[in-house]
Amino acid sequence: MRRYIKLYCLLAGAYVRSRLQYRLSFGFMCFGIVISEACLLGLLGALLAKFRTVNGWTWAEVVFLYGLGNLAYSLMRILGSQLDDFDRYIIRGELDGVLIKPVAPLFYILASRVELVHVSRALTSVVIFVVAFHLTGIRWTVEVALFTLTTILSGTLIMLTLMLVSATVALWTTKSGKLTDLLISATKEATAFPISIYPLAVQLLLTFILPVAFVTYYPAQQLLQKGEFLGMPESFQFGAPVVALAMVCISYLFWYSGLRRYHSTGS
Amino acid sequence: MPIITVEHLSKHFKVYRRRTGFWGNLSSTVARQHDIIRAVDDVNFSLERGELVGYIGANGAGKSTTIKMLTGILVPTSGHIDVMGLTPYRHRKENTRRIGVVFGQRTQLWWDLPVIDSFELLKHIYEIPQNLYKQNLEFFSELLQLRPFLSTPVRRLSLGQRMRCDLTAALLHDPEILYLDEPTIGLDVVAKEQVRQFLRQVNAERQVTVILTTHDLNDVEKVCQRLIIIDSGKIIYDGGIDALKERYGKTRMLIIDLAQGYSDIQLEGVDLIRRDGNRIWLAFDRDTISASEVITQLTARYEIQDLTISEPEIEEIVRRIYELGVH
Ligand SMILES: Nc1ncnc2c1ncn2[C@@H]1O[C@H](COP(=O)(O)OP(=O)(O)OP(=O)(O)O)[C@@H](O)[C@H]1O
Ligand SMILES: [Mg+2]
Repeated sequence: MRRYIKLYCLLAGAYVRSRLQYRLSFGFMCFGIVISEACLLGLLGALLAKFRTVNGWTWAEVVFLYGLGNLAYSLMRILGSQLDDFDRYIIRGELDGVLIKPVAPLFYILASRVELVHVSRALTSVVIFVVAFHLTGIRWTVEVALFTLTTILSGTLIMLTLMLVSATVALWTTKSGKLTDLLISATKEATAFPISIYPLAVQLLLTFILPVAFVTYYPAQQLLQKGEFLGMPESFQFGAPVVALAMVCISYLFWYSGLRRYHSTGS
Repeated sequence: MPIITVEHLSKHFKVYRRRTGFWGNLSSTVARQHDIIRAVDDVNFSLERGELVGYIGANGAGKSTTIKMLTGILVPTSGHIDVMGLTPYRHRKENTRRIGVVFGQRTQLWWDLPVIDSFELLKHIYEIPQNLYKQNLEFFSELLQLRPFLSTPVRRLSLGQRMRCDLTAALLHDPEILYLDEPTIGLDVVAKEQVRQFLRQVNAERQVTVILTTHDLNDVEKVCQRLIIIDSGKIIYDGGIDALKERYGKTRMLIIDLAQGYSDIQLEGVDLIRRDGNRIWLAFDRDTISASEVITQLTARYEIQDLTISEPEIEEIVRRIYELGVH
């Protein structure tokens, strides 16, 4: 365990140092992300100013959801950037180089790219989240703090494992980039709004198949005391860690069975 | 006790008839329309500790596929591999600690970082004790003259320099076996010679078992004691290089410039290998027919301008084996 923590820092550090060789592009990326986040928030503000509430959610509550989802999303992007274009490992046979090292392949892959560019996004989200937290009038207690922290971590894991499942598809189909791109934007958008605005089929999808409703919507029931459960069990508000854990197991098994199918490239 | 034993090893690839796009890929995967490529087909061999073996074959013969199974990258379709008592793909981590791998086509170093940083990272990845690491780094830097560019980013190294670094990277953790897939690809004559010299030395001084694939038969002739030839996934020769020359080297080659382009050339006991304008290449077996007999026959029928006779190089022997198979 100690060895893995150390290795994680070393590999991530190596990536960051490589990245910083191209400072200018790094700076531009950070800048671009902050700008695009600001635009999105502006858009959200404009929409809410017009409609006041979304399905009974005040705009402060929606911004709260947005901030929470975005925070988990940015953490996922920081930690799981290597999964964005994981299929290059398959298409170009780069997994060969990973498999000849005495380290767990998934660990090695994730550790070798920790994308600090997305820290700019995380920081923006923190600001949004803290402001929204204040506006919704939730009282800070130790319980609330712990619950929020658990929610953010579980949310990150749920998104990360979804990404992993999607990336792993490449071990069967060779390509999975488009699917992953789709999932990346879908999860970001699905966490930003209360899922009660969607038709039942989509609600079920976001609860049971791509369980991103556990990233923001259900935990928010607890934090905001909304009491909106769409006919699902009320215990779902505490479900995030359980779902995260289940997703970790499922995605790891999926990854593991995919890995045995890896057949490298012909040259 | 052999260090590597390979028994009835096969690797078959399913090649799907591709349709384009993601859904095309997915549907052709589901529909399972495929051809089977027998990249490695019932291969058997074993290596003793300390051997230096050349593994050769034409493009697509199955060399890299074999190496990938030996190193644990690929799971065999069938058959058995025993490397130091381990099954590489099953005991992957344990196996990788005890082997070194160099892919000539692809570096294992961190592209944008100084060379020394890659070595430092490998030290942690392989958990090499500090004093051993120091000692090995010293040894290889000296032997391969790495010092001038240890702090240069890998992307700025020449191919030859990069290969020397990759060799070091593969050996820092004192592996017992070194696998090299085309280690001399793209190198100039001097750099190739340096790599060959290095491999001989590593093998002799550190008792590392070496198995290398190559298309340059000088590598094999100058480095290896033993040669394994694979063709379309099957081993067609396994033995010493001298034995190969003895067995297949009885053929002599006669290169003749004819005075005019005869349309039809007929000679007994002689194969017409190649023809290029008025120049022809003839091969014959020195046990069945002597050179003077061939020349007598020739001069009796055709007008000759010039003539050279050559003993086949290993290159020529192997080329004929690739083209015509073993007989
Ligand atoms: N991942 C793969 N998927 C499908 N076919 C493959 C794959 N890898 C190799 N092959 C096929 O298997 C055969 C053997 O390939 P391999 O790479 O082992 O050849 P090689 O001897 O290393 O050739 P070269 O000298 O060109 O490197 C080839 O026909 C190749 O097209
Ligand atoms: Mg090859």
